[in-house]
Amino acid sequence: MKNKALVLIILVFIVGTIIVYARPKKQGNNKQPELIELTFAENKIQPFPKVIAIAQQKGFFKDQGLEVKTVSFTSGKEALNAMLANGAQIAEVAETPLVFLGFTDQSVQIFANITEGYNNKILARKDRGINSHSDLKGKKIAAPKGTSAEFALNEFLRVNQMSMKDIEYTNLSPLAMPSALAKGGIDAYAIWEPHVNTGQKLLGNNAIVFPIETSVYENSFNYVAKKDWLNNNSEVVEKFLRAVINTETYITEHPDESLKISADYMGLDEEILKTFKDDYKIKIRLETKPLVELMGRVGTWINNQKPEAERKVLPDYRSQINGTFLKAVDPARIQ
Amino acid sequence: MKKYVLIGPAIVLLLWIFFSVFKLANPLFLPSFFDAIASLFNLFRSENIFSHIWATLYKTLVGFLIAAVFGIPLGLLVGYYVKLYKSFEVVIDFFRSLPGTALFPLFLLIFGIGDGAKIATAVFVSVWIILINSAYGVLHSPKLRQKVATTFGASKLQIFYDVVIMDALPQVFIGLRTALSISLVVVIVSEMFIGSKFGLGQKIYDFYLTYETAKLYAILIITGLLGYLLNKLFLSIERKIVHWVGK
Repeated sequence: MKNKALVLIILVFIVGTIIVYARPKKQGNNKQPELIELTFAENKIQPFPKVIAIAQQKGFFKDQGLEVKTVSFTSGKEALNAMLANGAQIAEVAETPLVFLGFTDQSVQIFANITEGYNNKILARKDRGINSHSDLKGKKIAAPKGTSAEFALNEFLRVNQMSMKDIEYTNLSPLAMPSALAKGGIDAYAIWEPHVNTGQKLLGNNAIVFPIETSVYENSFNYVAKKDWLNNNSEVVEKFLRAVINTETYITEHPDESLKISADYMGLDEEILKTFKDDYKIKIRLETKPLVELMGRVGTWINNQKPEAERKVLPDYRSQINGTFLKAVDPARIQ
Repeated sequence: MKKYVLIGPAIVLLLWIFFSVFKLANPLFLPSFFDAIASLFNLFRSENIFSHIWATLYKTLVGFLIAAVFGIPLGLLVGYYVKLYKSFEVVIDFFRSLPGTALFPLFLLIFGIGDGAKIATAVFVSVWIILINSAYGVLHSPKLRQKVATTFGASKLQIFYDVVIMDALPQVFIGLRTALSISLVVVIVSEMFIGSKFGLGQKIYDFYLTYETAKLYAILIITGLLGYLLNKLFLSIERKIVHWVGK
C-alpha cells in the first residue's frame, strides 16, 4: 500500500509539473509587440564571426522587432537551395553558387555583402619541393570542383604566370583533403578555413601556406533573397540590415566575446578560430561594381570549362544586385 | 502477371509529367520528364558516360566481391560454431552498426585518394550484411538433417559442406543481393563526397553544383536502371544456383 501511495504521489507531482510548465504564460499588461518571424539559411562555418548567432544572442534582432530562426547547412549552396525551396526567406552564400544559379534562374538578388578580406589559401607539402609559388608547377593540387576554392586556385595560378594546365588538378572534397595531403596522395590543396588549419596540424613543420590575397581574388559572402520577397518585404529587409549593422559594430567593439559566441555556435575550438580570425572581417556593405566584375569573371570561368556548344550568354549581373534597402538604412555603405 | 510490371513505373512517370506540366514543383528541383529524357540521350551522345558507368560499376563489383570472399566463409564459420558466434557477437554488432560513410576520413588515410578508399567503404558496409546473413543461414538451418547425416556416418566436414552450407545458401544469397545494392549506394555516395574523375556519383554532384537539374535526373535514371539490372542479373544467377528454393 505504501508503495502504491508513493507512486501515486510521484505521478501527481509529475503531471502537476507538466501542467504548470506547459500552460501558456499570461502576457498581462507587459505584452510585447509581436515579432516578425524570419528564417535564415546559413553555412554554419563560413563566414565567421557568426553575425546571426551574435545578433540573436545579444538581442539585435529583437530590438528591430524580428524573430530570426536559423537553418544551418554545411555549404552556402545548400543554404541557397533551402531558400529557393521556400525553406527560408534570406540566405548567406558566396558568389560562386549564385553565378552557377544565374545561368538558369535569376530570381535571386544580393542585398548586402558581409565580409572584407581573403578566405582561400593553398596548403602544400615542403618535402615535395614546394617553397614558393612557382614550385607549384607540375604538382598534383586538389580543390573541390566548381567551388570558390577551384576558382581561387585558377586565379592564383594565372597571376603567377601559370594555368590549370601546368598542374595536375584533382577534384577532392574538403573533408578528404587534409588526410589526402598527409598521406601524400596530393602535393597541395586550395581551400578555405578551417580545412587549411586541419591540414597544417597534420603536416606540422612540413606545411607551407600561400594565402590567396584579395588582389588576386576576394570572394564575397552575401545576404540574398528572392526578388519577389524583397520587393514585398522592404521594411523587414531594412530591419534585418539595421540589426546586422548593429552586430557588426558589436563585433568590432567586442572581438573576444564575438569569437567566443561564434566558437560555441559553430562547435569549434576557440583557439582554432583565433589562428585565422584576421583573414577577413565582417563589414556589411554593397559594392556593386567590383561584385558585378567578380561575378562576370566567375561566369566566364564556368563557361570556359563547358564544351563550346553548351556555353551560355552571361546574364546581366547588375540585375542580381539590389542596393535599395541598404541605401535606405545607411547610404554610406553603398558604393 | 508480366503485364502488371509496367503499372508502377507508368504511375510514377505520369505523376512526374503531371507535376512538371502543371508547374507544381520548382523546375530547379523537378525538371520536365521530357527534358530529362532529352538530357539522357545527349549524355550518351556528347559525354563519355560509359566511362562513368564503368567506373561506378567496377568499384561496386570489386567491393562486393571482396566483401563476399571474406563475409561468406566467416559467416558460415561463425554460424556453425555457436561459441564462436557468441564470442564475436558484440564485435560484429558494433561494427555493423557503424555507418560506413563516417569512415571515409580513416579509409582516405589508409588507402589514399584513389579508388581504394571508395572500394574499402563498400567492402566495410557489405561484409557485415553478408557475414550476418550467412551466419543466420547456418544458425537457422534445420538440425534434423544434420542428425540424419550423422546417423548415416557422414563426417563433420561432409555435414558442413553437403548439409549445412546447402541449407544456409538461400539466406547467404539474400545477404549477397542486399550487399550488392548497398555496395552500389555506398560507391555513389563516396564518389559524391570524396570526389573523383569518373563515376556516376561525381556526375550527380557536378550537375547538382551547376543547377543542371535535367542532366542530374538523367544520371539518376541511369543509376536507378543500373541498380535494377544488377539486381535482376543477380536474381537470375541466384535462381540457377539455389534452384530448389520455392519449389
